[in-house]
Formats: sequence, structure tokens, C-alpha cells
Amino acid sequence: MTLTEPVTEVVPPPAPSLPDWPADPPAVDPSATSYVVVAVGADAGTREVAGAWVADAEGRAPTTLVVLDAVADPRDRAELTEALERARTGVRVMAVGGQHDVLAVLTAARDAGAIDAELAAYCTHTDDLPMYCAHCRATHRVEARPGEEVTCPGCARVLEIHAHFTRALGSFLASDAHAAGLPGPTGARP
Amino acid sequence: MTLSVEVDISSHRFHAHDAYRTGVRTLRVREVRPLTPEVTHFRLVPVDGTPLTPYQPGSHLIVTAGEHRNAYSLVDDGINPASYGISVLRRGQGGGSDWLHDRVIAGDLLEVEGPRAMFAPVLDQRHALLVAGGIGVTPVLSHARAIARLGGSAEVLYSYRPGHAAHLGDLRALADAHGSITLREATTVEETVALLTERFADQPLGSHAYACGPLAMLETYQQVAAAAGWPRARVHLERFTAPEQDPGSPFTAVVASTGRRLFVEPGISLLTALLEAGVPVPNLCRQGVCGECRIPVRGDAIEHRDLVLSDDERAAGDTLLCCVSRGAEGTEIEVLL
Ligand code: FES
Repeated sequence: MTLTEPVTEVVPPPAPSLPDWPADPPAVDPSATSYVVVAVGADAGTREVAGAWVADAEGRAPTTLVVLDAVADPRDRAELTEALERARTGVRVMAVGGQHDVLAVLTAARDAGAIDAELAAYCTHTDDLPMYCAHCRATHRVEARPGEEVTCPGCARVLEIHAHFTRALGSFLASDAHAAGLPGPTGARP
Repeated sequence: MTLSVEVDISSHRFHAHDAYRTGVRTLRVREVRPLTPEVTHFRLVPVDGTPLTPYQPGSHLIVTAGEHRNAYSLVDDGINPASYGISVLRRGQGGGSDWLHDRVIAGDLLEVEGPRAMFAPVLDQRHALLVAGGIGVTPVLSHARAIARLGGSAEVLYSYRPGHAAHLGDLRALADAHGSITLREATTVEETVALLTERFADQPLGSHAYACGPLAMLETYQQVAAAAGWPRARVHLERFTAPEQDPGSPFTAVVASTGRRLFVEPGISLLTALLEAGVPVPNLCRQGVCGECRIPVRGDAIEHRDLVLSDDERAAGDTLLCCVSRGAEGTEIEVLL
């Protein structure tokens, strides 16, 4: 470029921290030396994607298939944790299932030390999500989308789910939808 | 009333405490100790008892050695240091390292600058694979000592020629004292390749690898890491020599502050062109290794030839290391200085 051109300031687009899911199941990364395929839920779409991944991965390197009913179940959870602990650097972790479950698996993998280059995921639906309630400070599974209101399964407040996903918690942030209309600190809380 | 005070901020110390000093200053040589026939260890202490700046493992200190300014890796953990330790290989080419060997004795004063961190650990690593070849052991020892002190785990691979292994005793003692640090040794090229292959295949998830050593070993290290499926972001290295560069193509640099246009010929670096035009640019190694001469630029056709920037930083295209990198043939680069 030359100096005579006018300098136009580039304003970056707002970048909401929402997960950016691929439209199709991502391909198996051929550079790996082992694979862990995690399928959560029993629906046909999940099984199909996991099956295709395993068929491809097995031909390249040792592959572990972990099939879970629910990530919240302690036994299932233990199985996932064990597979991640056994994994060596060089592994690729591939997760498939509903959005809530996939995010839970990715969060577990990150907790176990995985970085983005080692993770791949495919959501069969985005009808549910992990929601972090700012008031009861816990993550819950809810069937809703960012921007919608739900009743918190933990503290029963009406929450708005914000368009903000935090990787550290593996959850969408939610807070009291009507907080702005509440009486001040001296008033009685409804 | 108007009060006007002129302050020269060039000498202002924004962190007033001595433990933040990294500018040019004088240290006293407390000890000179040969480690091998070619490697000598120098211990530097403050002249006046003031504290020394702590440093990230893998940092280097810039030492004025006669007519040269050389960067040497600091060998300790960097936490609250009472002295700075560097281990210097005699290269036999009459450079700064030879000068230190020939001229410096305990009690002498040396001018230093830094420490600078160019090879720091990734802070959330779960485990480290540390690979040292020859005198490349110095930053690796620093990493290993810091990990041991902070309670982490690491596996150290040390490739050396028998009888010429600086700090081998230190590494063995470290591994003996800390169950979480293991040491594996190799004394031939074949052994080194075999050991790298074996160990890269068996590190826990979340590991990061760090290597310092001769170029050939670093090449092998990168190849083995890639073959073991390690993403690039997990594979770190520090070079102490750079490959020869070809002269490059002619291009034009435009200095943004003055609008001055500099025609940079093949064989002349952008750094040289800028310095000759009176544009001050800090620099040190002049071979694309140290990171000192990084400058902000704008241009679409940059030929990055350094060994410092990551792929992402190159792709961003807003900075380059002007001692080696240049514009593509016939293009124009705007230098934001
Ligand atoms: S002076 Fe060292 S990278 Fe340019």
C-alpha cells in the first residue's frame, strides 16, 4: 500500500463468545497418533457420526470409543475422565452429541489439558446448553437458547441466558432477568 | 502560578525498586568456574548488594564482552535470584565468548542488560518435555529447576558428547532430589533420535516440549514431534545459531513519521537501511533469533525470515524482525516508526 491512500480505520465486528459449530462433522485429523471418540446419547445421528469417525480413525492410529448415556452420570463421567487420563499428547479428542453434552465433553478435555488443536466436535442439535447461574453459582442443563428466559433449576430465579459462553466454566452465563426492576438494597426482595 | 518542570523520561525508572532493573548496568563477577574443557560458568552478583531482577525460566542476559554484545541463557530457576549464572562455550572464533574465557576473572566488572524472556514456559502446562543438545543445556536447566521448585513434573533429555557435558551433574542431582523430574541421556545422534522418538510418544495430555541445541538436533526434534502428532503450539525451541540467509530482493521502505523512502538493496538488511537513515532500532543478534529488532510495519508482501515470530504473528503482517525480514521484490513496506 502507499501512503497517499486514505487510512480507513477498521472496526472489528462485535465478537460474541458463542460456540461456532461446523455444519458438517469435521474430518479426522490425520496427523494424530491416537484418537478418543466420545459419543453422548443414543440418537441415531450421534451413533452415525461416531461410527464414521471411528471407522476412519481406526485405520490411522489406535482409537478409543467412549459411549456415554449422560455426561452428568458419575459412572459415565469416570469413564470419560479415565480415557482422558490415559491419553498421551498426540491424541485428538472428538465429541459428538447434543450441544450441552458436547460442551461438557470439550470442557472435560480442556480440564485434562487439551488445547483447541486437539479437539473436534459436532452437535447433532443445539436445543439445550449448559447454563451457569450467576446467583446460585452452578451449571445446569436447560433446554433453551441464548437470549431466552428460563427458570433456574437450582435457585428458581427467572434467568436470562446471555450470548456469552465462557470456556473456563464450559457454560453460558445467565443472570436474573428482572434484576433491573427489583427494589434497591433497602427494599424487601420479592 | 504556573509550574513547569521538565522531566527526562528516557532515564526514568517506572518501576523504582531495584528488583525491576533490566537496563544496562554493571555486575561483579563473583566466580569463574570451568565446567568442561570448553565451557566456563560465570556467576555475577550486584556491585552494591541491591536485589537482582527475577526472571522467567529460559531467559537470557545480554553481556558486553569486549567489542561484542552477546546473549547468554541464565541457568537458575529465576525466582528471587541472589546471583545470575551463565555458562559460556568457547567458540574459538575470537568472538565475545572467547573474550569472556580469556579476559574475565573473579572480581571483574561486566556490563549487562536484561534479563529478557524469549523462551518462557507456557504457564498452564501440565508437564514438560525438555530437550537439550550440547551447550543448549543452559535454558533447559533453567526450565527444569523452575519446574522442580514450583512442584511440576518434567522429563529432561540431554544429548551430549561424553566428557563435554556441561551441567550434567546438576541435572542428575536435580533428578535425584525430585521424583517428578526424570533425566534421560544420549551420547550419539542415533541414541538421540531413538530417545526423542520414544519419549515424544509417551507424554501425558497437556504436555509442552522445549528444546535448545544445534540446528540439526532442532530439525530432528521438530520432525519427531510432528510425527508423534504434537500440535505446533506444544513444540517450543530456542536457537543459538541461525541458518545462512540469501541476500533477498530489493524493496522500498517508507518511514511513517517522516515519509522518507528508503530503497533497500539485496544484501542490505532493512535494519541497516534504517540505522543508516538515522532511525534508531534496537538490535542484537542480527540473525533473526533474538527478537530485539521487532518493529511495527504495514505491508502486504512481507518475507518473514526470522526464527522468532509464530505463524499467527506472521499472518497478522503488522510486525517484522528487520535484521533479516524484508519486503518482496519491488514492493513497498510502511515502517511505523
Ligand atoms: S537483531 Fe536479533 S532478531 Fe533482529
